[in-house]
Amino acid sequence: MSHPDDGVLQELLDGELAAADEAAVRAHLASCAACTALLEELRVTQVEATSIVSRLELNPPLRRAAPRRTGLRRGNLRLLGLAASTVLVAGTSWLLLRTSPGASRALYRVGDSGANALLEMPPEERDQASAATPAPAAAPAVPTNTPAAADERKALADASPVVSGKDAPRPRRKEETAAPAANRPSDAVVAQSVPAPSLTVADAEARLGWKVRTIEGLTPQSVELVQVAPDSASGVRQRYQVGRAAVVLVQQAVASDEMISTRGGRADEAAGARPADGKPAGEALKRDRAQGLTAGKVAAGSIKPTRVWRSGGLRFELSGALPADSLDALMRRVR
Amino acid sequence: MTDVGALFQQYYEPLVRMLYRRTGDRDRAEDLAQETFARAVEAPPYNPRPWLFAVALNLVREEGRRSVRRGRHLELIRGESSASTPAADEEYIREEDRARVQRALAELSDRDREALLLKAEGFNYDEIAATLRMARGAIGTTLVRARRKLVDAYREEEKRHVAS
Repeated sequence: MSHPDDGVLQELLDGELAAADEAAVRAHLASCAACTALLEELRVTQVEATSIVSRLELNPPLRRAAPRRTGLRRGNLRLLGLAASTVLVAGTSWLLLRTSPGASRALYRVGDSGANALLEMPPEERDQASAATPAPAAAPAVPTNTPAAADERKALADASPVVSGKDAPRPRRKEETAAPAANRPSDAVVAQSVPAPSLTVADAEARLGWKVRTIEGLTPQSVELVQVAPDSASGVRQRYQVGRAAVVLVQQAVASDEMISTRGGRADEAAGARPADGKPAGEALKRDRAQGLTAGKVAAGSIKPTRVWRSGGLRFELSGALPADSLDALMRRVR
Repeated sequence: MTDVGALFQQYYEPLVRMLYRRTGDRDRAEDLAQETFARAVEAPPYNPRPWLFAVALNLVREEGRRSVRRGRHLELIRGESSASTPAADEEYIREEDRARVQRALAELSDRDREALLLKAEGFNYDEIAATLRMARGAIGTTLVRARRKLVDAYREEEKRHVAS
């Protein structure tokens, strides 16, 4: 046979040649010093490349979950043997949190306070909130001349108690301000929450033992502990009013390897992934979002934002009925 | 019927490792792996391993296209985490070496790099072809090219390191 090319020799090394081809190549190698030398070069390169890649090991290693029997099916997610914790996400989303073996097993569907707040508004307010425009991408208090930026600054100012005391008009509905988020139907399934008015950020810090971040320049309307069991607060949820929109900041202590999550709220980013089977991977998420939102007849584009990030052992989720850019601006003010 | 819980047990770690090698960022790798499994929950795959890795790699490429916005986001995380955990000398040296490997890997084309990383996870040629939608006959050549390039690029990185 003629000299096999690099690819064929590589296939030989990898044991990927069909038996007949392999026999032919080996017969050729027996009589061809050049190809034998090439094969050896490929082998050395392969060993070296493997060694280089292997330096990128996971360190520290991922903690492996204890083996368990699970039977997850579409529409029957409760069978997934993962315990849950609480995170608020815009749109429809899941957080599956694993806990130690023996811990209670449940999977909670997590609702969206921000979206609900919007759905609860009278139509005219909802329209205004939906029409809220993105903040400038730069520093939060950047003075610009666009009406959009002015609206955003005003919205932020409205939410600050320093400014909003008496004269700032705040046409919010009563339950918007008074009802602790724990009473919302969508939150009822999430976890047992401590009644909101009893807590301050300092209280929460005392209970949790770590510093609770807040959105700089704003004061939370309510602070609740996030609990998966009565005696174990794992995080804190703060609710802010930004203009007419409710914004929820959740922070939670997590081991980074203990979490699977999806962000329905990030469907704008999820769209377009296309796995090998040709089905758009973002499709399911988009569909979920649509289902969650069409009931309220709210324009889909007005609610999507959720921002998720992680810092040290804390996971943050910021969600709300604001345009994505406004939420980004708020995210940068989390201190 | 695919059992996503079992898939998670089996593939989460290899997926995170591959994504870490691909992106150089472990937090991102874990996020992307979680996102990938979340999608598997929504639409359980028929041929899971290529499916999971294909979705994960697509997410990486999508992310790349959004790099400007993402860059801001990652900066925030980096700034905070590096301040809180000063690395020991030994860890620093290992980290330097990992950075050299990452830079060397970055020299490869996306396709070559991905084929190489999938091979490192034990994929056979059929699986690599299915994951990357390549002709099976092209895999051998692709791997040869990828490995040579990686070894050369890494040697260059080492030379640079010794010289500096």
